[in-house]
Amino acid sequence: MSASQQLTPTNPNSALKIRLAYRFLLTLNTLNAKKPPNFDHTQIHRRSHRVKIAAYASMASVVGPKRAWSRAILWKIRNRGMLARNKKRIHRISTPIRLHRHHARRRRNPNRVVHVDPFVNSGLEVKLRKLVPGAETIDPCGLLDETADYIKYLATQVEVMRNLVDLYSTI
Amino acid sequence: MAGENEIEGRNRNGEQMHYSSTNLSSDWPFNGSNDLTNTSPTIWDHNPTNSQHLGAFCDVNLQNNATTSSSALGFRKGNHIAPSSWSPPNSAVKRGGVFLPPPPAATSTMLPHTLSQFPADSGFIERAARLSSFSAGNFEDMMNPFGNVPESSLSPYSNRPVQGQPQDGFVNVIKSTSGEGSKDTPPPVDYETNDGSQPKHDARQGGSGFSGNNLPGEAEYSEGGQDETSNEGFGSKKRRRSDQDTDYNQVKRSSQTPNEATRNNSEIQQKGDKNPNSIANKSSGKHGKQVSQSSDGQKEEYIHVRARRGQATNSHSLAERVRREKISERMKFLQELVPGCSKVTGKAVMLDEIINYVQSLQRQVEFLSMKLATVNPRMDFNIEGLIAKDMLESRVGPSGTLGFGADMAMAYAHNPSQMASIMQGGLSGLGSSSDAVRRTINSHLLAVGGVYKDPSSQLHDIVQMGLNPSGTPINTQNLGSTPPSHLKAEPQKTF
Repeated sequence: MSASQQLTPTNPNSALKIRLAYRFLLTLNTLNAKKPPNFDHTQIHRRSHRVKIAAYASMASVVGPKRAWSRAILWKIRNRGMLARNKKRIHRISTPIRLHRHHARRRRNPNRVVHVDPFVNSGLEVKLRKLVPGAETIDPCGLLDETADYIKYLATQVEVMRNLVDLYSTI
Repeated sequence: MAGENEIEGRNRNGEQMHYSSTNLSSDWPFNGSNDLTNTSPTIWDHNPTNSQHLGAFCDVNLQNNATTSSSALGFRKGNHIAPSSWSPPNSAVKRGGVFLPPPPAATSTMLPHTLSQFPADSGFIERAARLSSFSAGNFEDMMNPFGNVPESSLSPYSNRPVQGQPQDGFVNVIKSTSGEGSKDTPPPVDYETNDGSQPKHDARQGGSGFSGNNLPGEAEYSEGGQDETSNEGFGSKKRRRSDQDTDYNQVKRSSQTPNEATRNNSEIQQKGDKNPNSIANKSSGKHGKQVSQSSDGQKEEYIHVRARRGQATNSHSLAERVRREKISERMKFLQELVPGCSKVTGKAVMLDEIINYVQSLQRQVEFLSMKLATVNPRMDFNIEGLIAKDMLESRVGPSGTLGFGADMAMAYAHNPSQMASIMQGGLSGLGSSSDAVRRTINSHLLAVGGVYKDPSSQLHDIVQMGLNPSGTPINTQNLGSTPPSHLKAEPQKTF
């Protein structure tokens, strides 16, 4: 399946939404079953963190391993204990390779005018790479692909969560 | 004018690209004469790895020739007769309607269509002259694989026996024409030396001449229209001779130009690939999309790689251009996804917008997760309301943002009555829409319904079963039928 087919914007994708909601509710349910919330500040904080993780996990698991961002999310969630333990090392590993290359080039010949389109040279791309999980090392085209897909799912997830909040607050 | 016709014809052909051969046969007769010149590029796009690729090859060759060199015309003519006499469903061919292709030979199925299609228009020759891209050289080299032809069949009269005795089938025709084609190109000068007054003699002399012979036949076919069938072969002979003088000049003109234009071409197959692409370039991008998917990759590559006038052509700049086009294409997708990004021009600004959007979404997730953590101790599977609200939102449109603002104010309010008052408008229509949803979803979900007796214990089973969206609405049904008491009881166990 080509990227263009996947990226075709479909108006409110109810099937996708239902899947997301289902996954999310499952994880929420297990979360609740594990730990009954009590309204302590730190407890709430921890709990909200868990819910957030659940949200991302449901997103990624709906997509499955076919996307780079979902793979990255799943990997991060699975290894979050290890990640928290040695954050620095992982951070060093995951710094984008492209960055190094650009700096090296600039240092070598600062006066040379490199005519590349603004997409690469502006720090925006790096920013975007940091935002989209798992996009640190893919090429710009892939980055945009991933971003589009990620945005799609993230928006749906936000919608689902908002609806859930509305629902629970009305009950 | 002719150019427009070509484009339209291409359009139509593009839509029919995926046809099996049966579609082909049924469609061809109805296509206007415009298709004559256009079919060849589309069929070129046919993936040659198909089992039918032989047939496709033949097809292409035939049509290329038909459009450019007159030599193919005779070929076509012979073929036109062949299917009617040769394959069982003759009557269908006569009617010009559905032609059921005999299964054994792919080539046999492909060829007749080209034939039936051709005779419709006499004016196609002029158009062919304009399509200078197709070469007789193509024809020759492509046909060579098919014809292991003895020299005897090379004589220009080989066509006529076929017409007279149609039982020989088009295989004969292929051989003869291929032989002629091979013989034809080496002395291309002959085209110029031919006189309009002596087409017959030229035909006898060599392969180069047969073009003159056959073309009038073509013109005559156009007069007869599509009703011409196997018996036409005999009558056409006579008429052809009478028509020769008038039509031959036209034919000569058409045959000369393509020949000269493409004589130098060494890589024939590549050329065949490229030419349709260039044409597709001229016609708008829409048409390109309608062409078959297998060819899309190739075609797009060509479109991208092509350097326009004044553009740099070295490989680096070409690659760079390809990359930039890819990026801009993705940007367009993103533009559609990100709200408020459609007006923005300039990649940097757009990127900024996208980044902001992603950030805002992530922050929203964070915020909403916090709210979910605080707001709700009770997790029941009341998804019905969720879906209904989704539908409502999609109906109302951007009301979601408003609701969100209200929620922010109410973030820590546990008083349901307040929220109820706020959400009143949204909930008013909930009943009807949820009913509709239930009705639509239940129809194909009843089979799974039994699973859901005890949601808490069997949830994981269901997940592992790979139950997709279908799983949830069942719950909604249960909820709808029985008040959510037992579902609510479940989370309360945890306390």
